[in-house]
Amino acid sequence: MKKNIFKEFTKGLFKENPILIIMLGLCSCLAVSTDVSNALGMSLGFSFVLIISELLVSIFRKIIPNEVRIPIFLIFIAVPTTIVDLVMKAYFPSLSKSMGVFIPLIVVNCIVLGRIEAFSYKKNFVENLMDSLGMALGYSWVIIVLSIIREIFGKGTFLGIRVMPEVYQPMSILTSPPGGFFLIAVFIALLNGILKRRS
Amino acid sequence: MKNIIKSGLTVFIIATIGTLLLAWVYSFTSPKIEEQKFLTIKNAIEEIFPNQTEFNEIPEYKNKVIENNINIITIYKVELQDGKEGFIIRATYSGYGGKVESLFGYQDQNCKGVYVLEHSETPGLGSLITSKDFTNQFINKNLKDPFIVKEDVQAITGATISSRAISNAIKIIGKFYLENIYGGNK
Repeated sequence: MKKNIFKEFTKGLFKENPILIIMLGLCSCLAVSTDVSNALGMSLGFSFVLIISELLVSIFRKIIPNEVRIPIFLIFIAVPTTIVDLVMKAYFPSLSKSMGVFIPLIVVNCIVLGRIEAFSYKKNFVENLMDSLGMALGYSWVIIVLSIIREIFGKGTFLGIRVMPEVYQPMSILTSPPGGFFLIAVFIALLNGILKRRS
Repeated sequence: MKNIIKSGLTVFIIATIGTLLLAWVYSFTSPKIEEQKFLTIKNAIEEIFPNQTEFNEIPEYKNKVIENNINIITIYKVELQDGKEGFIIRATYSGYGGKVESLFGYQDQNCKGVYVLEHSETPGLGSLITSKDFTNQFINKNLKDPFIVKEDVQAITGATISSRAISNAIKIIGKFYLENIYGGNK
């Protein structure tokens, strides 16, 4: 039993990684991973929303009527998202400015709705806690690593500070969506290769 | 029938609780958000006019639509140390991803700078309209210049529409400024 619960946590990191294996939410992932600071802000906001909404659904799943579950799920996602948006605007104005529309767009992020519909609605509180933590961490590490590569090689900076020598010509393709897709593809290939070799 | 009522009521109750929660969060974040906004406006005005001594709103130019999608929110008159005056026009206009809100600084017949307060342009591309590399080209630019992107205005790579929106707004609001405020003051 203990082992099973731990598995719910670790599966989100690699084996069922929301971006690299389930391949959901690629749009926001591409859009915010151009800067490390944006990626950090997005991971925090996204993790908060995912964890709160999965837990809410697991608590209320017994009283949610099956035929109106989707609107209720959306309320459970939209409320924490709006809270994140308001808090960011009030306390981290510069971060919220650079993330633009992508914080409110967490509402329609397929990972959240996907996890809730496929997992939370059927599982209990502890399993949901583990699943949401794992998924949030799985999402975060991918976009943070992506953003580190894209910012250092695409802009020559790290967290806005110049780290590459002046002569280095930034590969601006990395900051554009095609470059991001290419990097994600490389990540997917690597992860699939590793997982295959292991099994 | 019973099912419909039960489902409807459940959604209703959950939505009400959600709304109340949001109202509560909004009640303590909104003064903070306003404060932050005022602070950014103040900083931006100081950035555009480094030698400013004080600035005041001109009440008669509140919420004025001057051309399609260009809407002036307020105009500030800025007193400068050398006795001259500049004007800051806070306005919204359409960008690529929706409304953009900016401060435009004008003095005599020149644009003195632009500061983007709020936008929903594509992060990494259109969002670069906030960067100094882009906005610095408008400092001390004569308002009689054509303000055409890729000619006398350097566009952001991959964000021509955003670049065009901002330079058009400077030109059109600048025209309004020359006709109504600058001329009227002389």
